[in-house]
Amino acid sequence: MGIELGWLFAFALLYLGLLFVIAWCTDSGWFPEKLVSNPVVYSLSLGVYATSWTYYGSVGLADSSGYAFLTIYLGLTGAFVMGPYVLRPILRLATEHQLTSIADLLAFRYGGRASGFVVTLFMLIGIVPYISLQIRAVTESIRIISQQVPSDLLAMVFCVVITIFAILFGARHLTPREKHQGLVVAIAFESAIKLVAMVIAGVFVVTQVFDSPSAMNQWAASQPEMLNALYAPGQSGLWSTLLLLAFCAAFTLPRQYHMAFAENQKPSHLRAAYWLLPLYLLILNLPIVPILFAGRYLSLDVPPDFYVLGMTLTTQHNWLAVVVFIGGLSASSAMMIVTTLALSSMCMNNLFLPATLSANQASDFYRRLLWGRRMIISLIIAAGYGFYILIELNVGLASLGLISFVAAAQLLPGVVGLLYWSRATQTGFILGLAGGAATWFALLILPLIKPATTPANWFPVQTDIWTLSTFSSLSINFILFIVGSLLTRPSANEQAAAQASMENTSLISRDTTVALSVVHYRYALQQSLGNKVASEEMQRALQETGIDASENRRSELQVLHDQLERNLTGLLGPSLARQILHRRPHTDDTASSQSPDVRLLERRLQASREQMRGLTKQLDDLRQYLQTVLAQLPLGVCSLSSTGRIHIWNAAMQSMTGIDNRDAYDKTLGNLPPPWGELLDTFSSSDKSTLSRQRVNLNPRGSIVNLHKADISSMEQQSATTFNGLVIIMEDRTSLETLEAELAHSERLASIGRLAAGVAHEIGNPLTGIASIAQNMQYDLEDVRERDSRDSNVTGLVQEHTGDILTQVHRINNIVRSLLTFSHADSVDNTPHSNVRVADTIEEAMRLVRLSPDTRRLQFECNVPAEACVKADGNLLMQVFVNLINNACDASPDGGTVKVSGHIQDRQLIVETTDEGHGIAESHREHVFEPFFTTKPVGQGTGLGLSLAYSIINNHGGKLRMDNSDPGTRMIVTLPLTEVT
Amino acid sequence: MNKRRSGSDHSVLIFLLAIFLFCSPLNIWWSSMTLPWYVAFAPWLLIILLIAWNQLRQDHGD
Repeated sequence: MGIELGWLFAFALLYLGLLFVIAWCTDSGWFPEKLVSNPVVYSLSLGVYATSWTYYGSVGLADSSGYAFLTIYLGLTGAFVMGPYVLRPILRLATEHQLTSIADLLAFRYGGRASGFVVTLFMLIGIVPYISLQIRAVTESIRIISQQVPSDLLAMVFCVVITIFAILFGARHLTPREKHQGLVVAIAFESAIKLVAMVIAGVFVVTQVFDSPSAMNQWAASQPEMLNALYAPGQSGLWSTLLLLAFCAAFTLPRQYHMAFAENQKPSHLRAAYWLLPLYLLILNLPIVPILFAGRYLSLDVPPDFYVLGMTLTTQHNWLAVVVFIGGLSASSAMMIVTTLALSSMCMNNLFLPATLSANQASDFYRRLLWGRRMIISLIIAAGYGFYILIELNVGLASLGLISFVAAAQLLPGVVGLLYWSRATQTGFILGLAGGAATWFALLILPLIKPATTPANWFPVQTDIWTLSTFSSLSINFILFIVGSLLTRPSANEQAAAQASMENTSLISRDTTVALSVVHYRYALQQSLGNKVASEEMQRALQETGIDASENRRSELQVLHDQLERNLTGLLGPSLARQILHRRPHTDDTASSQSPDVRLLERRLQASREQMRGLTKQLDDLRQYLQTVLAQLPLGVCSLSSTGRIHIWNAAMQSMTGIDNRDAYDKTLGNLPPPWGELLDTFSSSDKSTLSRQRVNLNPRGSIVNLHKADISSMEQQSATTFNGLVIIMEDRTSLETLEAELAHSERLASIGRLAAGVAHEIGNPLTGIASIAQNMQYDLEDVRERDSRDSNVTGLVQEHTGDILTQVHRINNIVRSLLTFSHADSVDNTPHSNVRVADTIEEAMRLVRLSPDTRRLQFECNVPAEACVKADGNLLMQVFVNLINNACDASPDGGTVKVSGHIQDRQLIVETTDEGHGIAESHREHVFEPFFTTKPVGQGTGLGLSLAYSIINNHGGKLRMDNSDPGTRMIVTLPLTEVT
Repeated sequence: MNKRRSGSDHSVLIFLLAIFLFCSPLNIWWSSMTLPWYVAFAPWLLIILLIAWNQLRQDHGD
């Protein structure tokens, strides 16, 4: 007893509704990213390979051809084993150049519209019967389960639901280059359902039909003829033929290409699929033979294709029938959805757009594209439905599937040429495909339409139709492909595409003529795509490349050109992308052959590193090492091409000039911003090979550089390379010059010190004599006064004069002692140092200064950390602070405050002495630490205090510097801290 | 990187083994024997396990 048709219809709608929910939830972000972007989900989505042919037809094929049905999966396993050599290169090309379909891939390689057109047309003809097969599988399964003949209306409803799903979740985005995560998860879910349903059916056979595995094996062992028949195809030609067809199907079937390459999110997912997908297929196929056994054991009265349904009904397990039906529905719907999406993209890019794309596009071109694709999806499913209605086929499900497999295999020569033969041309490809397609049509399609015709008899070889059709069509295809390619020459575009396809590089090296500016590209896009799309595409390409809209350098425009071509290929296919970009009105034809584009070469080498081996790899390692050396060199390096354009601008050059590598690249020296442009340009064109101590006014202090240059073309290797030009090396001498100035200053101070010591010594001796004489004179005068009081007036006068002499002598003596102290300040290292508590020293210095009556008009503040100690000579340190505080007192006005504050920072004690005076004029600042420099009135200062303090602090490993405070002056002493107690 | 390359080399070896098992006189020999039905899946499973080992080894190396 069957199941009611209405119930089946309801189950089908419920299941398809669930698919909608899953896809919608995924697109809405309800599922975690970890789950959605997962290699298992990706591998399951590739399970779209298993259609209703696998689900139902494998049992039929096993019935007629034994284990030949396994070859359909073994061949695909072979393609995945060779994934690194077959699938990965295609994935790389598809990702890098945004090739969303097999037609786009082949059109990219065999440049021109014709290739894409032929492939699309042929795939359309080859796949539509396959779509009708899916509709037929669904209606047949309903017929068997319900035991009623379903009306064509039911098939139509199924097609409508599938169309809606494909449109909603497969043609959701405005541009076809976007990924459809919702679709991928839904297809993966369908694969999982197929697997679960098939495994349940297998377990049912083993446990319910045969009671146990051993019972089934015993029954099978009792049928040796049946087992022999199962294994028999292994000895036939069909075995190898089906293996080959399945191998090709892994990458030539539009639905496989779409799921494996167009919807791939990460290359690592494909690597996981190398074994996950074959494992999935193995588990899916395990129940096939037990189901065949069950069908024979139960002597089911249904076609072998539908044994799985028949056995459930015979054993009165309707729930299992529904489960199996849902599994079959999954297989059919997944295939139809993905195939129509892939075909719609192919048709749009290669059939409709080339015919309809013209100037003055509507403003909403994206929407037009989207609705165009949706319309094509509807048309393709309608064509499949029409085929199902109009052509009554009396062949098994597997046969219809194999017809499509042989059709898809005709793309094999093209793919082989794409991956391994750079000499292949468009003419050869189209000739081969046409020959193969004609043979395919004559041998496999014609007998379907006119059963009376038997073209297989035209061939002298007597073998099965699949081997004959595959062998003959592929042979003709390959021969025409090779002959056609050898008789014609590949175009420049084909050569470039061949290079990109075979050398594993993302960049195409060619003598492309690029536009003069970004504006010209924008204009070219506007001409074909309208203002809105042109603006969006240009903005997208500029963002992706990081190129400025005002860019006009050839190398940068070449990068922009390649990016635009990639993006437009994802949108419109490779043929139209090239056509649009060649519409630009003004081009720069200055061939890059004059000087190779270093940046493009670098990018290509970087992209090709994974493929390098042996000596090439070692050479590239050496190149990278030298590049690192050049980048890390502390000298600025700039190399110029023979046309005077900058090729290398290393990191040191960037830091010295402040000009970024990206801004400098490909510019002439004269176009660099001032002051570098003029300096470097003048130097490069001069006869001098060296320019020393050039002052560059970058900032108030300025920079000093040395420049050297060498002519690269004068080197011996010039014959072996095309890299001619000039290299300029720039050496920053600014810090060196500063050091030299400081050294000279120290030398000068030391000389003054030696001079002072000499002068003090020479003056000291006579001065001592004068002082002694004057003192003696005073003593003598006192004696005279005591003896004769009459001369007291005279002697008083003389005594007053000798007193003056002694005062002046005392003053000179003070100066001489200061000079001696100054000259001996360097010897501080020889005096024993002890831990000095700086706060105490400052307090003592402040107390001494306050003894002077002049300081009574001032306030003093001291705030230095009491715990800070430094290793120093306490007396000298005291002298430093006395000098600094004295100076601050002298500078401060009446009622002013002299502040001494300190703090600890990074194991350093920083003491600041601040006054409230007028500060020090800018012109005096450079000289304040020089000996004998003073701003005090003559006779009030020796000009040695600060220079002495400077020397002492320096010799204690510290620093003394001056800063203007508001108001007044701040003297800052930094000393290394020994401990904090 | 080297792991990846050696993984690719192993892929070729596994492919050759698959050809040896499924497209050589060996195939004719084992298919001419009356074997239990499930034996046909054994060489396929072996190939899958080898691919898995090869890929997981590379992923671990990365």
